Amino acid sequence: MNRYLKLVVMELHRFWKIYAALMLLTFLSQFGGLFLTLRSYLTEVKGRMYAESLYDYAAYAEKHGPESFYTMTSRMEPWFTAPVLLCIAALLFYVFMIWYRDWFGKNPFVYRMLMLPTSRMNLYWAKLTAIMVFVLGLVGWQLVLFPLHMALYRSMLPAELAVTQSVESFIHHHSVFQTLIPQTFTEFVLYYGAGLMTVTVLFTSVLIERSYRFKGIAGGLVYAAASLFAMLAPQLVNDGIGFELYPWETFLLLVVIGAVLLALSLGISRYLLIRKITV
Amino acid sequence: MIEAVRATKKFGRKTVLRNLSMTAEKGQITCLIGINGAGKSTLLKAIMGLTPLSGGQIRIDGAPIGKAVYEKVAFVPDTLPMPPSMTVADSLQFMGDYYSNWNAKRASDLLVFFRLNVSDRISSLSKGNAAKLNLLHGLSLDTDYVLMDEPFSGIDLFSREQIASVFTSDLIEGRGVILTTHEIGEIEHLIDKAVLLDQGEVRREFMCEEMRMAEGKSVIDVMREVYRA
Repeated sequence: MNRYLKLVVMELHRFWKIYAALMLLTFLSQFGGLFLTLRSYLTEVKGRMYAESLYDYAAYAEKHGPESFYTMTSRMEPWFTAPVLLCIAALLFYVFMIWYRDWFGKNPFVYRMLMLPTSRMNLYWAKLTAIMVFVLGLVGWQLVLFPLHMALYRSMLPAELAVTQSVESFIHHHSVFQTLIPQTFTEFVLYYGAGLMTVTVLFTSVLIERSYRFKGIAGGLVYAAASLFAMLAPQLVNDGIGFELYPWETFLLLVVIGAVLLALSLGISRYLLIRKITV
Repeated sequence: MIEAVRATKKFGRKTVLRNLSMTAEKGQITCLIGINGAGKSTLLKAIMGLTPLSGGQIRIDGAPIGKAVYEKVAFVPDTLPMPPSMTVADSLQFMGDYYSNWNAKRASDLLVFFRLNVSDRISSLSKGNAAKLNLLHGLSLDTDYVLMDEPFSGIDLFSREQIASVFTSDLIEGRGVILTTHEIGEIEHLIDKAVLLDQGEVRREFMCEEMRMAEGKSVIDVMREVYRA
């Protein structure tokens, strides 16, 4: 196994406990929340059936209509999306910590990492790969969980009250998941390309700070802010100057700016890692 | 040969190394001596490419610093640079995985010599054992040079004796060693060359044996002359 792959495996290994905890939390929150919501819904249905003298679920469904999986998850929105947002926040935090943890503590591992007889960019690629694997892994985990949640929905609800809904349809209707789980390959490339670019910008900010310390804090913040400004520029042109761009022009401009920022971040990071980084 | 040529390092307005030039030969033990802040550790880090110089250059066997340096020079910093969650065995595995010049036989001999327990976690090691493991990592690499930053600092007498014994063993025979230390008294008889640093400059560079023969002075005598002048 080459050193880059070994480094990737090491980076994955270093985060696996927290990562497994995030996966478990997502499962417990969504599955447990759904279970409690379904149970509460059934109690409510039974109460209304008694009050309205409805003798079976078919009569109830005829009068009140069945509840789809999507509607059911809307009833328990925080249980469903909070762990996802927590995972996003944790990974965003780890984008910084994946570097800083090497410097912190009484045994700074960064000495050893920078002295490995391999290109220092391999450290960078390994950390970037690890972050992308973590993101895609959590999205994959969510895709595994949906059928489980749907199976729970079907098993707890009487057939008369359940609505058959596909995973794709559910994702398509959900505001958070329709972004996290793109429906087309183009969307996937665009969304995750933008995510990758954002991570490289943040990595560059961290490396600027690690290379120039106090001055670097300002430098890192300026770089991140300038990148954000560049990405917002097409929108600002539309809104601020009143110079209307066609949607496809805005889109193209965003893709070009994103690609330039990605290349710039990689170039600056390479330079800093090889020439400027300080232990 | 490791050469520092007019090495200058600034941290903001503070100059830590000022046009510092020195050499360390293969087969010799060179000791960097100086009070805290003299620039000893910074010089070692600069040699290893762990901090960029503001001016001047470092050459190792005539070549500038690059990734090939890490197969040629081993650095033993003043802390053990391994994650605290690793065990001693994990750390050896790590070194073997990444360094093609890792000498597993020597590593296991040193484990026995230093009486280290492979199942101990890095976080649970005493300061003495952490220093020994750190030294083990450095010495088990088949490199031409070994740099050691304060290998005796803050550890007990018996651990110091064990570490000092390494300097008379075949573990470093034929290699070039640069070490920094405050405890010059204990290892004075082991070193070949002394480089006295003060405020980032070389105040004196001499071969210890020649100094003893020619002027009848020990390293400590010369230190008194230089630092009390």
